[in-house]
Amino acid sequence: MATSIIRGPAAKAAGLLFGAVLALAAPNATRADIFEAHEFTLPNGLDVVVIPNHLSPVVVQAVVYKAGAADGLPGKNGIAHFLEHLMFKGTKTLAQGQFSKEIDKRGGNDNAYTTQDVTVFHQEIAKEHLGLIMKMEADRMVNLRLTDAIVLPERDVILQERGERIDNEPGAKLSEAVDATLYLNHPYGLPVIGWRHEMETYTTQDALVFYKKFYEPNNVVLVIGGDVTTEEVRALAEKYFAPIPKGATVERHRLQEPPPSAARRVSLSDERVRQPYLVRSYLAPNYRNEKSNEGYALTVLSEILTGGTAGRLYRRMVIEQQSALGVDTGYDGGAYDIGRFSFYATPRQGGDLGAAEQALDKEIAALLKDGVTDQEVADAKRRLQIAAIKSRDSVSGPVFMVAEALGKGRTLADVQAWPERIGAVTAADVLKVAAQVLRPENSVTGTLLPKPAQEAAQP
Amino acid sequence: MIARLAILVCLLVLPRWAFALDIQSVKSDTGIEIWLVESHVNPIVSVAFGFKGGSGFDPVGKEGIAELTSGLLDEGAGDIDSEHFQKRLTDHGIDFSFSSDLDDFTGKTRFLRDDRAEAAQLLSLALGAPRFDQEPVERIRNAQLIDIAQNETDPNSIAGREMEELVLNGHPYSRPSDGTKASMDSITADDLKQFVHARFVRSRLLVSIVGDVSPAEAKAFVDQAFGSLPEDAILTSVPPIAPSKAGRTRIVDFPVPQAIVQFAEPGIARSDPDFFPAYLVNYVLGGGGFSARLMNEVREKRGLVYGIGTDLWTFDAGGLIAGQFQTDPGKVAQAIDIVRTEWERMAREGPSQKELDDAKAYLLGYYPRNFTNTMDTAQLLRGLQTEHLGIDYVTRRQKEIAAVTIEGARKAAKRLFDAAQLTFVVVGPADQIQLPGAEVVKAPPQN
Repeated sequence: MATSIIRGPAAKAAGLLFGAVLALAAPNATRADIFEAHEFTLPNGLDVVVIPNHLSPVVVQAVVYKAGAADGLPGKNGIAHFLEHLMFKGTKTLAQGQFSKEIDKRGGNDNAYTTQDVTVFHQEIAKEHLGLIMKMEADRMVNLRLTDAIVLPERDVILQERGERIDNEPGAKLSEAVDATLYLNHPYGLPVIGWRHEMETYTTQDALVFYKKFYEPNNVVLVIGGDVTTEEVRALAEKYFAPIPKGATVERHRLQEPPPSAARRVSLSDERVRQPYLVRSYLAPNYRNEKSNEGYALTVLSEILTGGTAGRLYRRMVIEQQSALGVDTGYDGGAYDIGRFSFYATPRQGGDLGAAEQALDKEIAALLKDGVTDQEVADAKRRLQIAAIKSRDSVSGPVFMVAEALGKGRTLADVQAWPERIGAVTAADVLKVAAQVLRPENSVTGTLLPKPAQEAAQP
Repeated sequence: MIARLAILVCLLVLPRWAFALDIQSVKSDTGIEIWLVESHVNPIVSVAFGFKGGSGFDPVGKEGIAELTSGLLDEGAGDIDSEHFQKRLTDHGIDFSFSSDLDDFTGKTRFLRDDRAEAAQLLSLALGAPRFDQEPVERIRNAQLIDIAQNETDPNSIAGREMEELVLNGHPYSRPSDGTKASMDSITADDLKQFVHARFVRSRLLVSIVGDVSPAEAKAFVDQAFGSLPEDAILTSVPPIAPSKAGRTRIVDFPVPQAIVQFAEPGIARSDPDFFPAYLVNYVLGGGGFSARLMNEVREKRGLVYGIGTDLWTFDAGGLIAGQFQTDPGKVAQAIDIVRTEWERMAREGPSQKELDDAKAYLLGYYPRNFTNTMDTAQLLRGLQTEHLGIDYVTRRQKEIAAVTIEGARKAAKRLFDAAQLTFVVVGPADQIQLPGAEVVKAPPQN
């Protein structure tokens, strides 16, 4: 779902499918009072959170713009991601590419990524350079300079990025098709990186339109973690960010989903596929819009079903029935408008994807009929709480959890109350939300299948 | 090969003058040396350990056995079957994982401090008495066979295998770490038991611990976890690698929209006195992300790729310098031409003084970023143990980097980079790739 300016250190050979699920699960691993965190707001509306952490003399900064791919522009879908790339291209006072070089030559790193809901710029560097990275972020919030000579080669770069991430990867093309089918009207159905034919038409002006509309201090969350105090951050924020004038109020205007009425299926066959798999995604409540505790109950449900190999589906489908080689679930409750609950299953070698799907359907039916046990709920809650404690053992992890949550419309108090709300979930809550979400008409089922090499024409 | 070797890069990142890491060397009652960093911020303990002898040491005909073993050690041990072993791990939230690179078999575990006796007991069973029951063996073998099949049609894997064949001249490290269908089918539970008894021995054990433990608690942990392993066993040796200098270019005809390009030539060993100068000039050419010449020339100026980079790969048996990028088939020739030009220019001129200074500043300034969580710190220490770099390395290496001169860097560049020796592998549709003189082969058949 996220796409970023440059890939990580090594392309992962395996684990594409389950890696995605882990990424969805990670932001959940927080707990009330688990982080020491302090929040304040500058007069121009810029929201600041500080998470002191003294494991090493390092700081991490995340600047979150509350604008992502789902925020436009119509006909130029993906422009948010293109602008993310262009934010490294220089300002009134900083030459093209200088932003990253200033950080590199102090031993830091910097990067950025775009999702449907947010665009996040982040750096990690020795603590004495915090002022520098805050100054440079404040600078590019208002002083970006773009010309066609700079913009057009970068458009070629994102087309290469699309080739590498999507067009060359059958699994990524299937994900794109599942998304496009799951959302009937909401822009979450469009790819974050954009469709190739629209990407080819992006102009400098398109990027500037998005920049001027959304890149305002009152539309930003600044999160800083590491070996700092709130007072140090406050002084630097007042020096560098406070002088930026407040912009117009920014609102998200997105087309909303109608109630779904039909289960849908999509399938992709490719000669390169040697491991077929199935993904089924259901529209679900999210954390932000919930009136009750539905998001938390879905988190517990996912943990019961596939939390580690002790999870119920892994035990039954993979070990006992041997109807699948792998099975997993993921709940993304963080999305701004709509949550999503997904299942993944892979058959054994030479096995039948249809048999894996039938076994999965049987498990879902059993879940809806019999619910979950109190013991399963208690075990899942304990595992989630241990994970929350471990999430403190990181400088960057808590920064990104808070950045994502606040960027997508939740509050710091929501993050801090997460374990308490998880702790309040009951077996009845889990069954109730499962029955509400796991209905065929809420879902799209996608299958990735091998395609036999073409046979010669017969006379 | 690219994916397998990524971890090595992490070992090369460097300490900084001002930051002191208090590494204690502690000897347990049974004689096991531990590198220990106490960190009492959170009630969490991370343990990283390893045994010399990774996938590169797999017996001929049993390729993939180290990888298979790494997936089976938490699937039942002693009197505990797979289900109950997994349940004890997850109930306590104990992270437990094993992996194998070419040189070393490694493991790591992270747990809450109150669970350290439970973690030590499970680790002791996993290493000393794994069950290798039929159900988990077949399940994990099946998963590995599917990986093997999937890699046959993955263009990055195809490129990596072709490069190993062209460059490594039949060295044992060019064999598939995942194994082949035939080798995987031949591995029995007895083979696995033999492997464990021959490999997991105290004479080749290295352990680092970081987190909320005292020296006494760390000693008790390792004695319980590793104390009953056998003292020693014979490990066959692997000869030095003798990489090809032939500088060939091979196109593997394969129908993907975007072509994959890998390139490599002989590199430098970690123990070579020129290692830091070589590391720095590689940073300037291709290792330094947006600060590197290749990224600037190929991506920033011309928009030919999304990413391009080079790495020094160091094994116990020698080294390579290698890189990769992806681009449209019609742009492969232009991008390769730029790589060659920059390769030659770096060999001829070396880095500028400013480039060298920036590269040194990066490596010196990076240091504290290695220590932002307990497991990364433990793994870094275990890497230093593996490379025999010594417990004083943290400060010594800063001095060595700072002492690299422009003359030393230029000399290393001349020694390291030779465009004539550079081998290129391109995986993509051959009819769209214009590389005169390149040999064209079909994608290898599936086994």
